[in-house]
Amino acid sequence: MASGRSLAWVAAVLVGAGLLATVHFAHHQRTTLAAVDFSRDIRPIFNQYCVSCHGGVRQRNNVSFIYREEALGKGSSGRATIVPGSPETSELIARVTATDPEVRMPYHAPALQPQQIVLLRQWIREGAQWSDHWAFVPPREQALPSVGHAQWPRQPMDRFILSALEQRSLQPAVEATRAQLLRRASFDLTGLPPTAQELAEFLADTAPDAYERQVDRLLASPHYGERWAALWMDLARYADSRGYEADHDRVVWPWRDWVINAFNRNLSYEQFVTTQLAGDLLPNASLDDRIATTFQRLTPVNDEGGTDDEEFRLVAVMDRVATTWSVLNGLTMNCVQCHSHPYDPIRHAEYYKFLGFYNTSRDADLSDDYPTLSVPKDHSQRGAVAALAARRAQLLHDVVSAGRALQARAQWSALPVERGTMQEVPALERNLRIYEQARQQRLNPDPDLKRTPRQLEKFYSSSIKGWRADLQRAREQALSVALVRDGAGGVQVSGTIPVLSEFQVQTVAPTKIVTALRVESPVLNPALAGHTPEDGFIVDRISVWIVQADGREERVAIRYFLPDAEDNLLAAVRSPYPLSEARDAELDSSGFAANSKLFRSRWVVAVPARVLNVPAGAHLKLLLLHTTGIDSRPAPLRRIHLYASADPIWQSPATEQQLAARLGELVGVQRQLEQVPSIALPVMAEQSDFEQRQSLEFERGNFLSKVGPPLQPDVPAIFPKIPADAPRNRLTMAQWFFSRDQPLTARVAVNRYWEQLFGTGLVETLEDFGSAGQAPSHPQLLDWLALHFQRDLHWDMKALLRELATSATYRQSARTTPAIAAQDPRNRWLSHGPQQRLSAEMVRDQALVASGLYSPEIGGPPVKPPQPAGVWMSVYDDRVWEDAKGPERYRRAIYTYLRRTALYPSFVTFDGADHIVSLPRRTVTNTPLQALVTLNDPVYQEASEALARRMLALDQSLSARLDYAARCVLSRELSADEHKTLTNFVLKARHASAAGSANERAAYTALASVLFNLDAALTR
Amino acid sequence: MSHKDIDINPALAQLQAQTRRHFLQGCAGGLGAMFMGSVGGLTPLTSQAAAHEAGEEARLDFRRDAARPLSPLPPQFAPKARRVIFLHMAGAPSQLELFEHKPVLTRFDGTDCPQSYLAGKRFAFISGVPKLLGAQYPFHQAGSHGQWISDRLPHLERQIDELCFVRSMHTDQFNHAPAQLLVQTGNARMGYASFGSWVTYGLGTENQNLPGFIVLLSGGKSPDGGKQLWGSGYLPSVYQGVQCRSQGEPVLYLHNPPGVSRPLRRQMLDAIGAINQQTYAGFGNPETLTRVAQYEMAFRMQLDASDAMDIHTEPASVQARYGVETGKSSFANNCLVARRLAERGVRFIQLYHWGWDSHGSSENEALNIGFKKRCLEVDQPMAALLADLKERGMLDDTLIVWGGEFGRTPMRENRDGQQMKYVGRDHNPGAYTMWLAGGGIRRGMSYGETDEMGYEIVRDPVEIRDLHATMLYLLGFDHRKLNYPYQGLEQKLTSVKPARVIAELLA
Repeated sequence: MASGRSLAWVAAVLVGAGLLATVHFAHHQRTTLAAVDFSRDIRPIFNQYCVSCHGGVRQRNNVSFIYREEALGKGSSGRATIVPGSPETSELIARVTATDPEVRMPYHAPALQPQQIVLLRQWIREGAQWSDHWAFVPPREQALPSVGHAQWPRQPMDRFILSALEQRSLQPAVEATRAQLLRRASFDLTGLPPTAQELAEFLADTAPDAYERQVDRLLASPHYGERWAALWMDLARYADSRGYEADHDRVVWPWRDWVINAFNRNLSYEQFVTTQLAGDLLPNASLDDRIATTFQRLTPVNDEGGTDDEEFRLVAVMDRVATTWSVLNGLTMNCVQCHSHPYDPIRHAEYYKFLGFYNTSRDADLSDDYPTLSVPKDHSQRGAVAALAARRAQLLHDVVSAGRALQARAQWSALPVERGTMQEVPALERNLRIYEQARQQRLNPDPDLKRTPRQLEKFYSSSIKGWRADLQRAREQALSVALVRDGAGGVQVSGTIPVLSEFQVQTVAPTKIVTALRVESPVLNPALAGHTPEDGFIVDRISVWIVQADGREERVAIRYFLPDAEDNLLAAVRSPYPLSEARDAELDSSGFAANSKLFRSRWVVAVPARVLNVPAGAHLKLLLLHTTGIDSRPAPLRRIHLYASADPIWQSPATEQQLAARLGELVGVQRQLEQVPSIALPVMAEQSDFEQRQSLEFERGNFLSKVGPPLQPDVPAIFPKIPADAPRNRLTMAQWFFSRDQPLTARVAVNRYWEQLFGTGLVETLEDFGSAGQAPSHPQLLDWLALHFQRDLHWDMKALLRELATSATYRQSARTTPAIAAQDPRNRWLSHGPQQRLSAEMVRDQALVASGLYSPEIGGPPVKPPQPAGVWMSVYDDRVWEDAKGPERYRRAIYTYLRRTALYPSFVTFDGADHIVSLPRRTVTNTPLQALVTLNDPVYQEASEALARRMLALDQSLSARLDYAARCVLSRELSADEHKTLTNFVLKARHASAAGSANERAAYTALASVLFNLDAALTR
Repeated sequence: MSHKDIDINPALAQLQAQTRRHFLQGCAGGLGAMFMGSVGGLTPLTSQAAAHEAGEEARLDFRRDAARPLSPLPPQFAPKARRVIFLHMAGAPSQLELFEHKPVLTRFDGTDCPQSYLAGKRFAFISGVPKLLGAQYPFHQAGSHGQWISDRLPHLERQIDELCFVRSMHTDQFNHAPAQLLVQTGNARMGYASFGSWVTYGLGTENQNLPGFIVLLSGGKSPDGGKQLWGSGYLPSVYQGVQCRSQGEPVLYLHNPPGVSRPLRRQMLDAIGAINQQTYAGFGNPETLTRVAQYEMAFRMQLDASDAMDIHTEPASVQARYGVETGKSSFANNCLVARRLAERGVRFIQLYHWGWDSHGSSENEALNIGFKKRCLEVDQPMAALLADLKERGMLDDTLIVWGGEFGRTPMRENRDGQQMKYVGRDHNPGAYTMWLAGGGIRRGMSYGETDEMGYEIVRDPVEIRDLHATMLYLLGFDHRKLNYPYQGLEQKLTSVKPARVIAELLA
């Protein structure tokens, strides 16, 4: 003890200024604290004063305070920053105590407080032990605290709350009235107010467990799923449109219905999340499992002409990474996109390792939202369609695997290209001919779009006019396409390239028979393309010809085309659009594509119907047709290599047997699927092993500049490891979040539920559990709840909610007094019950239910309730919002069509999410524009009129009508004062104009509007 | 270190020293805590990690009474501009037809574009080898500083001595929606807080009966970036822009529903207020009192907003000066509305005009047709706005900003590699021109320079974030200090890359 004191004395002397106070303080520290706690005492100093220059983003002079090994290293000065056990030789202490302003840290800023320097010294002397931020340490078992007021707790969690209150000499509040409780629980659990009938039943129920049975009733309600889906839609950045400039419609409501249903079925949180992240990779994935994966396809897509698909594909992938971490672990992983995390021990490269889990999905910012899942509009067909889709997937896989195996096995010899042309005129002529024929046949070019004969004629006349103009221009002014030999037997295309073209290449005569031909598009730079792709291409059709020595041409019949990957095989067997079908009559063969980018060399093998013997002096000619651009830009084959095989295997009966039947069945299955009216739902789908993109670290987040070796997908090192034998894929990643020692998944989940019911999370910053976020108000309770949810309740969401909603803490009255407000101003200690403003959705839903307009239908396509004219106008779009009529007008808020660039105005005013990026927490505001909505929006006027009709339909006194309306809107009886105020209001309003039933209605409508605008109506 | 990082001249430093704002030592409270004033408690920041700049620990205090989230706050130091009128020309007008005089480009008109201009560039639509395209309109020098201007903007030309041209604007986005988002929110992705939101968050607004951040669209058409361009992102939604319309209700839901007269509305509000007072007496939740105040403000806003938007009370001579078109939501009408809003203390007034995307792919997008019409639509009104503000003594403290989201190429667009019927230019993020006026901006000057083709910047490049930093500076903020704690970071309009105040632009 004595030596401890003298050490503290020495430390204090070294500090210099504020000597006496410091001595006293240091002494106090030494005698009352066993040791300095790094997380509590030291990291906050580093975070506040040091890491902005010496942290994850910048390591000025090679000094950083994020990791211990770095902090113990040497800075550019050559001196050790921290020497454990020796504050005197630690540069850190020398710097914070220096007097020269050019040397002292923090640089050109006020000096640290003397106490802080003492803490740093003591910590270094004690060995400079490092410890992880609390959130990275798995929750610890917690004993239930003992409490004085032992009768109060109703649930184990109440003891933590009570204990904290008692430590602060606070008392819990009395229980809320029954009416208040029912309103609170009804909104919190189902998002709807109790009906007058439900309220009466509950008030009449005198059983001791009456409230608990109400909670059970609410949890079992089908509307429970709708309320919690609204929250999940914020997290999932759900919208019915695609975002950015064009912001086209996107049909994704089947995912929203899956979520509602999953909540109602009470899927465990683990299954709920795992299915959404990786349902497609589950063994025997069902249609529903795949629908769930739309979660990560809700990212915006940029359809603006002239955009780079790879750029926006990566924007979506990064969004998925950020959303995963934010939703599941409350961490700001997006910070690590450009540099190591500024505060938390997550390194830049670790971000890109994790990105690897998401970088191998098939989607690529394409305008058709590829890949999509066919979800039958008729629910009863889902089973059959799922079976067909599974069969199709199997056949695609079998054929491609077989083709790839043959390709790899067969002998090939290069067929050097002799001549080549890329011509625009014949392609345009062909197109014009097809359109003219289709016009005569009155062919509807797009079966999804109903056109009247007049509209059809208009379509053809303007298209044909356009094609003619193009053709004339092309005849007058040929484009300067250049074909150059690439030195490896192939040709390369450059110059000014048309969108529509016929690309012809003529090869030298093959020296042997030909049993198969391989058309290949090699990448220009194989070292880069795997992660930084080249421009893609779309070849619509390929045909093969033999050109005799005298110039005669003979078409070669092709038995089958075997593409290198499933996307091209699927494209080949899909029914073409009617206008391209007409093309088929001329060129009945399949094309191939790398849409939209070329990550690796692509090929397709054409197997002739019979063995080719090309006579001496003859040539082989290939004709490739390009008619489709990528993002408004020409997308021709940029480079072509040709190979011939004389291997008999291509023509063998075994091959025939292996492929022909499967291809036939594949076409049949595809036609069957196309017969079922379906929604094309964007879903997650993984690239095959051989085509997976590589993930590298992006230099400062720039996708055009990558560094280092290809990275294996992994989780950051601060977390528990992924099982060594598990495949490094999305499913493993999803399951890892639910592994036993994952420190944050359960904490973040229980905290979110807590925040929904109590208004503030135990960790207030739901969006940040990292060291820059707020510490939990009740850390033991957070750990207890997390472990309870994970291990006792096995992620059962309804069970957790039941415990919260039936707790004594939740059942408290929200009433505060000035004394309570002074001690617990923000109710962080839960000294009284929660009172929250209704969410944007609840404001609408309450008006519908209370007015009797409400249509309780669950699920289905989004609807368009009244919205002021002009909200939807945009430059490039003439879509209009037509107000729904009939029951669709009165659906719950979550069914309202959500267009990203023009959100439903009243929801925005009431703090609804923007549905563009995942929103972990809504901020609640209180503004005059909100008053204008509930007072003047025709939706609320309509509800007021309907409630007035309801009141007037009661053949009763004003007083009884008032009571009835109050039960509908406020879920309670009126006080005598309120009753008087409202009675007087109606009398005056009625009096304001001459007598008559119209005025009676107007007065009651105004009364209803008054009720909807009361503070008591806008809160729960 | 902070003083070394930023490029601030001595005059600026002196301005900054005239600090009027109350600094709070280390106070903040994460999301939501900013409205805690009336609740009585400040949330101490458990972790001070967010103290981003090691230079000073002092943070600006943006907390307000919950009942008045838009109440005015003094800026950090004495401002030059008290309000902003931002004229965004959506679609990106061609600088080469308006302000950038490039005789060399004209000399090479019609010749093949050199390969060096194409290598390594990403274009929206140009492919293959396009031709160079000289200016489509004659240029001449005007004003006492001899600034170059084309013949398309004769009215603006008379105000040219007020203008400060930035000829070296640079952006890294070449598609409309992301580029507009970058101009308006400092970030090319959706979901960030817009400039107007930042300014109303930082300064509040002077007239509590009008929104502090008002957006006016020509023809009611949203720009490519949509309503996200005036969104509040992670800032509370009270700071988002309010779209006002010169047709229909000026503000959504402003008018009473049919059958509700103003006296009846007053009675309704009296009843609501009386019962809310009783509720407050029973539960003691301060939000209830806030709600009472907001309902009263809404009642006043109903009158004041209608009045502010009613340009027909202006004298005929004023209407004629702007070229007002009765009953239309034209750019001219919006310019006059903008002046009325500025007079009434609205902090940030954002106008969007559209149709400047002159690719040459259609008549409306042709430099020789649609572009001419756009010039006619904006020339007279924006010149009138400048002159009118000047005469009223308001130009000195009103910052006017004009520009698009990127520039246009010196090459003629050859969509799909083909010469097109109409004359147009593709997107050029590499260089473009904006102009500023009023509010502490130096009059009659040009800043920055592009090469002889107007293709790339050769001197004094200005990034969007530099423009933002400069605008915030004029409004009285060090851009690094106007921040908001979210997701563990001090979020800023100018984001993480270093931004500089362009001292040369300041009067």
